[in-house]
Parts: sequence; C-alpha cells; structure tokens
Amino acid sequence: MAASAIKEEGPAGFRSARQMRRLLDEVLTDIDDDPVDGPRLRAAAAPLRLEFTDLKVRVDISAADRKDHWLEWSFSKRSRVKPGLHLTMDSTVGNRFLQGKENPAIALVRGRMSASTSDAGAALRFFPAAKPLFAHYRKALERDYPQMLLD
Amino acid sequence: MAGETITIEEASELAGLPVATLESWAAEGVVPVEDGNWTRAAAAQARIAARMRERGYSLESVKEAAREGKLAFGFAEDLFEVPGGTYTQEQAAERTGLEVELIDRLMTLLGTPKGHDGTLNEDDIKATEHIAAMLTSGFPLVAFLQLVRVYAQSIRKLADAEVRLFHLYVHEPLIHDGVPPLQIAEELEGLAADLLPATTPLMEYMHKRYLRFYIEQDVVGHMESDLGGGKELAHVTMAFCFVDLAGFTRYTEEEGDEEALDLVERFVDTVEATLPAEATTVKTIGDEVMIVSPDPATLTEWAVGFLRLFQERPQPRVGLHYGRAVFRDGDYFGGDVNLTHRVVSRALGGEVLVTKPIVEAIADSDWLSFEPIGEVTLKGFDEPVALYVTYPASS
Repeated sequence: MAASAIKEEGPAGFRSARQMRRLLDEVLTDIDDDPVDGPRLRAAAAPLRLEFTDLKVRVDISAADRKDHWLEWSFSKRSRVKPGLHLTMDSTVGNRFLQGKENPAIALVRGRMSASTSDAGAALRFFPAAKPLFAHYRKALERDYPQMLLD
Repeated sequence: MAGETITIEEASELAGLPVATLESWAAEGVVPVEDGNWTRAAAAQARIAARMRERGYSLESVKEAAREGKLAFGFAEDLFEVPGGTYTQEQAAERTGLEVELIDRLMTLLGTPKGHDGTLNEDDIKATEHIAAMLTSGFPLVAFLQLVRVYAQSIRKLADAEVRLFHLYVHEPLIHDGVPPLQIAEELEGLAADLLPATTPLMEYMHKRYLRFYIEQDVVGHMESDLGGGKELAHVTMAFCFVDLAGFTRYTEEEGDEEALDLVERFVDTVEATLPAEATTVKTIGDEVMIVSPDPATLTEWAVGFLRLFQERPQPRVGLHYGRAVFRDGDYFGGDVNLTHRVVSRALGGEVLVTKPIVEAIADSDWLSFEPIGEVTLKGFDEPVALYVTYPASS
C-alpha cells in the first residue's frame, strides 16, 4: 500500500507500531536516495539504535555494505548490530525528537529519553549530522501525517 | 580568461615589470610560460615573484617555489581588482560628511591599510559612504564603533579560514599531485572565480537568518527585563557556562594534532547542535566553548544531559555561574565571567560544577539535584566560592 493511502485522522501521535515502522522506513529510504544527506547520515550512523518503548519499535541504522546505498536499517529485534549510540524514548517524545523539537540533552535529564554509548565518538558523530534526518522526517509527515507536525 | 594568451607587453603591464625581466624569468622557469605564450595567470605569477624578490627571497628560492606551483595564487589579485583613483582623507571627509579623525579611526578599526601617503582607494570610499549613511540614520557612534570592530574581527577570521582551507584542500593537493604550475594557476583561478560570487549572497543569507533569531531573543530579553531585570546600559544578567574536554592536552599528545583537532571540531559542533534554543555560543578557544543563556535552568539541564552522552575519555566538564557582565564587541566581560572560567577549571571530567547563584535561581528544579562540595578558593578571587556538583534528580 502506498504511504499516501494510509493517511489517518486522529491525535498527534503514532497509532500503531506498524504505522511508525512504515513512516521510519519511508524516511530512511528518502535519505538513502539522497546524494547529499545519505553520505552525511552514513558518516553519523555510529551505528545508531532508536528504540520507542511504548510501541516496542526498534530500528538499527548503520552504514550500508551494499553498492548504491548509503544506509542500512533493520527493525528486527534479532538484529546483530552493536549500536555505538542507543537512544530510548516513547513514541511521543520520538515524534518530537525526530522533528528536531525535543532537545536530547534536556530530555535525558528530564527522564524522557535515555542514552547509552559503546563508542566514545558516537554522540559527536550523530548529533551534528542529525538535521537531515529531522528534515526528511518532517517532509514525510507533511506528506502523510500533517496532524503530527509540531510548530 | 586564464587560458587565453596575451602579448608579452600586456603581461609586462599586468605584472608591472619590464619585458626584459619577464623574458629572463620565463627562460629561467620562474614564470610558467609554454612556447612563449603568455597568459594572465603567468603575468600574475610574475607579479608575485617580483614581490617575493622585493622581500629578499633569492631568485633560486623563488624559482623553486614557482616550479612547485606555490606562487599560483597570483590570480586572486585579479579577482579583487579595485577601480582606479585614490583619495585623501580630506577628500573622503568632503564626500561623506564625516570628520577626518573619524574616518581615520574607522579605517584603523576596519584594518584598512591606507596608502603610504594616507590615501584611500575607491572601495574604501564606498565603505566610508555606507558608514556615513548608517551614522546619519541615528545609530549611536559608541555602539557603531563596537559594531565595526566586531565586523572586522569576524570577517578577518572568515577570510583567513577561506584562504587556509582553499590552500589545504585545493592548492596543496594539486602541488602534491605534481600538476604543472601554469595548470595549477588556471585551475585555482577557475575555481575561485566560481566560488567567490556565491560567498556574498551566502553570507547575506546567514546574516539575515541570525539577525532574525537575535531580534527574537532581544524581544524576550526586553520582556524579562521589564519583569524585574536590571536596566543598566550594556550590563546583562546571564547564565555563563564554560565547557571543555578534561585531559585534552594529554589526548593531543597521545593521538596527535590532527586527531585532536578533529575531536575539537566534532565536540564544538555537538555543543552547538544540542544547545537549547535560547542559549548561544559566544566563542570557542581551543577545546573550550563559552556559552550564555538568559535561562539558567535549561542551560544547567543541558549541561547535565550533555555530559551523559560522553561515557569515555576525553570527557567534557562544565562550569556554570549566574551573574552580570558587560556586553561589548559581541563578547561578555567582567568578574562573573572570569569566575565561571575558574569554576570549570575545578571540575573533573564528566562533572558539572555550579555556583550558589545558579542553585538559588533554579533550586525548585524537578530535574536537578545539587551536592555541595564546600567553599573553594579560586585563583584571582579573594573570597572562597561555594560550589555544587550537579546531577539529574533521578540519579
């Protein structure tokens, strides 16, 4: 089913794990196709794990080994990727964070997000390069779920 | 254009050198001329070679530099050609309505090298006219002079970075690849001619964007000041924060300069990418970043959260203080700023140390807890200062 065919009305939040996975897959596909943002996020994916606890969605993003691709990502809980940076939050915070509207450092202190790192440089690589992720995410929301956009 | 041939007489005029000198230098390989075909790039290189000779470099060393393509930047002078005409400061004063003394002071602040006889060129005169228009609009002179100093400092840094990066990433690789000097000169000229027209609109765009942001901040500042803040001109009440990397000197020794520079760049980028919207980076000095914010609570929360992202060495450390400072030339000055700087030097890696004014300002925070470590004597301060290690309230 095309992403545009699953537009839904409702509160500003994800309604299901399936919806979230589909949106994230769309966003990452967009970035993977982007000749500028693809390499930027590839360099920043440490690898990166984003985990959304309420919907039990987890995505591992890493540099692609495949030719003609910048990124690889997996929603499988059996993924063997060892994340350099692992950010955990609920999907409401996730929606804000992925729009660049949730300050990650403040979210950590306020208990809305937790972080663990296994690579000293992981945060230094990811945060400065995260803006394209936010921009593609907002673009996907504008297209498919405008009610989830935050000012 | 760079590749088009010109006559040796035209080259002589461009380089400001006699034809005989050019012929001799071409024959000796000081200037890259193939089959007697002179180009503007070759003439520009001759001009640079002449200047190097004037500075006392031997012909042999100039020749060596030319052979390696190191003189290929002569093209740049053509890109910045200033229309002819010189003016005395008195003429500039007459044309702009500004006093001679003020023009002299402005030119000094702007770092404009006046001619030996104190003359200004056409570009200098245009800049002076812009300045006169700004002053006529009623902007106070005392503020304007500060603004001019900030413009000069910032743009000097910008130009320095542009030239250094162009040299490191474009010029040096061409030399390293053994590209012939004339080809280097032509490639550099082509690239610079493409890049330069884009820089001014880009800077204008960024300037407008930052102006919009700071105007918003100013509105917020006014509202907060009206709600009880101080009114003293140029004094501001702010949360001051210094953050640096503990053990950075040792890290540099162990990992080398380039690795350390790379770390600092990523560290500063990460600070800027994660700061709360109302906080601002004032400056960076090596691995140290100075930040200010009108909101001590979110800045302290940011500091504590930021450190949680770094669990391995070299870990950042933070010092925070809430106080007053004089805002001048885009920077903050005063005892409270100095105190903050001393506070960070007492912190351990991974630690946020704050002063009592911070604790008092945000004591009701649901998210932070403060552990007093006692009163500490800080270098340059007579009275001991109470310091607190700050943690997330949940830990």
